[in-house]
Amino acid sequence: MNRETLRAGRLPALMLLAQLVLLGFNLLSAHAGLGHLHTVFSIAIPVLMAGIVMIWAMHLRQRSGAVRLTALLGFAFWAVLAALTLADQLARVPVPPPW
Amino acid sequence: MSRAISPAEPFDDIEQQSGAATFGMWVFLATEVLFFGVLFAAYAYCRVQDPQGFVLASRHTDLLLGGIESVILLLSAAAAAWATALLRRDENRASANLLWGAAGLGALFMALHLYEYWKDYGEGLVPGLRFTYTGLHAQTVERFYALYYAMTLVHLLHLLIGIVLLAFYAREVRRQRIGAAYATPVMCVALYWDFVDMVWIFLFPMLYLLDRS
Repeated sequence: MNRETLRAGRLPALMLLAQLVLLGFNLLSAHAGLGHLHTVFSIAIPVLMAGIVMIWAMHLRQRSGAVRLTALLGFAFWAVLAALTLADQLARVPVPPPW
Repeated sequence: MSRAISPAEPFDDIEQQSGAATFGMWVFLATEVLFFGVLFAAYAYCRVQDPQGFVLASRHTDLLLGGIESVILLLSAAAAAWATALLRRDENRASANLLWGAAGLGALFMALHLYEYWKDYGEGLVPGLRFTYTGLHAQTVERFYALYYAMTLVHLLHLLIGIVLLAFYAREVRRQRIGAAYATPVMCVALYWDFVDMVWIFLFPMLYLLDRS
């Protein structure tokens, strides 16, 4: 394996390292008894990991505007879907029984 | 050294063809976000209804195996990313080896996950086939496992497709049928593989890492 081959692997190796560290944090946060804060961590850490994948592995920053818009719309439509799904459940007010 | 290749109809040049193929792949991935999004939304809906039941159900999943699977998939994605970087430099042999490695790690992930299914079956945690859990929040635990199987099976199906594609292109790259002159098919497969990796990045904490304290 020559030096150029190794150099080409530097970015994937850095990405892998960052993701392993984040995965470790995620595992720790699940065992730390953080209560509701754990929910925040368990969403924020995967979002960070996915960001690393999209920006550096999938090279989203170097893509054309159309590609970036497509990626954004995929997530935006999903957000609408999730919001509509949860709207009913989260908007319910518990009504005490009349007796 | 890669040979020059002509663009396919109706493209004027290879760059245009490559741009169109990559854009098409991203449109496909955007539809995949919505495909998995339905399952994620269903999971969120059920979890909001009984958060405690989901935490209880999650503690029956095998955290060690799930963690090992996560590391394997991250390694596999890194191997695929390295393979594409090498292919752009016309290093076909090393690129093909890494593509084989990525496919092999994907297959290992799959084998470990199937072993998890087998373990769950033994513990009576497979809704519809063998569900024997009768403790607290039994209905929610069953719902959690129904979602667990729906989500992980769909993910495994994607993984299987990815493994086949990686293996196919590893062979093509090794035989010099694909090279730096037109590496787009391999780039598209790597994009797909990154997406499969990304789905697992979200699935792992949702299914295995609900409050373990």
